[in-house]
Amino acid sequence: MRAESLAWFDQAMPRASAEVPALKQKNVSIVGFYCVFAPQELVLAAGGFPVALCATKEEPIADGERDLPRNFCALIKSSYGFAITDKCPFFVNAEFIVGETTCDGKKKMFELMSTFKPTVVLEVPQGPEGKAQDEYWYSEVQRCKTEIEKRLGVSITNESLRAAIDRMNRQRGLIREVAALNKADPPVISGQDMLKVTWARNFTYDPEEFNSHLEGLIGEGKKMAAAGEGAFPKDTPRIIVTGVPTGLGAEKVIRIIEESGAAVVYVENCAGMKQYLYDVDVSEPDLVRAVARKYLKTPCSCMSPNKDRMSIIAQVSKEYKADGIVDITWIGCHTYNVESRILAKEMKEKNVPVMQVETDYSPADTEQIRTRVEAFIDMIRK
Amino acid sequence: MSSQSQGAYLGIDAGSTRIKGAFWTGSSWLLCSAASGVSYEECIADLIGTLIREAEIEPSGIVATGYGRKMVTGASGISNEIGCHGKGAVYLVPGCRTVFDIGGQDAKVISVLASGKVTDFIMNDKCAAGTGRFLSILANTLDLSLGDLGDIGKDVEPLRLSSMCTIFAESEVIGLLSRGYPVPEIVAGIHDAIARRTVSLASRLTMTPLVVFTGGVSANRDIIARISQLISLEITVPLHAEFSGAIGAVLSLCHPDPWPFVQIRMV
Repeated sequence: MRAESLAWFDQAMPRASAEVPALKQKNVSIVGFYCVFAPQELVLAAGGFPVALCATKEEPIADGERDLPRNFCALIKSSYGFAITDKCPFFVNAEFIVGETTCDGKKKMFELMSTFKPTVVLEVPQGPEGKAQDEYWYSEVQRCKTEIEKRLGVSITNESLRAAIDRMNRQRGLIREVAALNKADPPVISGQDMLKVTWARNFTYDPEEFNSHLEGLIGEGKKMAAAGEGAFPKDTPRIIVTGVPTGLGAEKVIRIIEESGAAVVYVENCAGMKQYLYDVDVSEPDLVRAVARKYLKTPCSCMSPNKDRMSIIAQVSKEYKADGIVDITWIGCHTYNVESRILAKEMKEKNVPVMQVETDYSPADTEQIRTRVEAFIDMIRK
Repeated sequence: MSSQSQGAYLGIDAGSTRIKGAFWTGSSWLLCSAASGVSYEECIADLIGTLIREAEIEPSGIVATGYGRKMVTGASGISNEIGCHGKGAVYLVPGCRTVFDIGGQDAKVISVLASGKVTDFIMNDKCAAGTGRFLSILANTLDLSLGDLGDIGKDVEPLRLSSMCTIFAESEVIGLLSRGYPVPEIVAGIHDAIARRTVSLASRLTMTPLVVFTGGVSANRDIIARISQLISLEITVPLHAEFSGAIGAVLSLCHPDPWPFVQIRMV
């Protein structure tokens, strides 16, 4: 059965598109971002609304390929295609874009994008550890703060930043609680629905409204779990999805997994739980530094080494009793592609089967992926 | 043998290039294959009709597998092709632990237990480079028939092809021809490229002997020899290797008598 509280999350996107003009009327500045490295607290503290920009549909890829090489990953080509054709209402209405150098493709895409849209591009260090990396990223987040203040004509105070941090910490905590519902067998929420919940957060302007719906879902989910009810029958094979972001429109593999008789119990990637793992540490006296540190901990494959991702997957595999892991890689995403080898090796030692699926946004390979996914589920079924 | 060994069951492996049917009549196997034409559904129905006519009995069940498995009208079940190929190979070659199967558009490598259960597998992504399709397009470019390639490339020092994309490889082959390179060296180069790609795919699995090769490409002995050399393991190509998937589909329903001791008839 499906939790009734999920109905509200189904409508998040259409609601958000309709909300854009209302925000403009209230003089709320929209600031666009693409990646979970963007320090959204700074935008909130400046009274702006940070919104995730369109990047997950196949349709604008051909437009993206007018300026970008064809062998770029689907995510970059889609982002750029949406941007140059004005098909993303959030992009059109954004005052400016916060970008980041999380891979070579994106770095160069932002270079092109900055010729037709104001952008602030943060330089991300190559690794998450080390004093120099910490200082470097801190200075970039400081620069971002100054740019936001200048562009929105406000100053970010300690109080406003603290309020923004509290608001996001609270939301992250609630989303972690929602995810944890799936530790139960049967899992309470399907992987496809979990994506809708995490997705909705990117588009809901009113945090209190969003949080109350999360609380409603947690309450209902706990009751379901206690009654032994869930989104799937008990003993359904349990799969953790990791790898590249799989936002709505790019959830092909997750859908195929669930159509083929397994449950996606945890989505580790950027469309799922990656951004909700850590809170900003409010005991740190310099709040900008605290914000910077939270984002630098993002276990992204653009970091070298990226050991945290491996240990997180090992840990959630245990907590969510995973029977297998499906690692999704976009064709052209070198960093996740390389990490797939590392992941398979590490998880083999822990006796958790891993299957890598290398694909893009097009539906052309659906049946081939289905064949492999079905065989994988047959293999891990107890 | 199981109590079901006397039932009659039909397996259809609807591949991208050929449709294979295996009918266990309860005491013998009838095998039949045909090219998958444009009217796919019709070709499958014809093949089923032929097998039933020849067997002179109706099957208790039909299991479909392969790329066109959903086009098999009258199927009582659908079975995953990776599982079928695992089971089929172990039935054809008892003791098999690793299966290479290269067909018209897929290349897969499967690790299996003695029971035929799959413990690990790897399969190519959507690109069909290095599969039968690649081979047939390049055979066409060289004006050769697919069946002759194995003999032409045998024991020839290969030219190194750098393209694995079918379209680029075709241009590369045309380039080599225009520069006067001998055809056998080009053919050996194509085989070498397929062998290297297959071994690179397989290297993500642990390859345990006995290694069995099935699927349409198993008819090309030169490719098999080159793969065998690269992995330093002997490779067995069973008789009727083309039918491994269809036989595996039948095995999901019943337990026919062991392979070498049964009567087999091609129809």
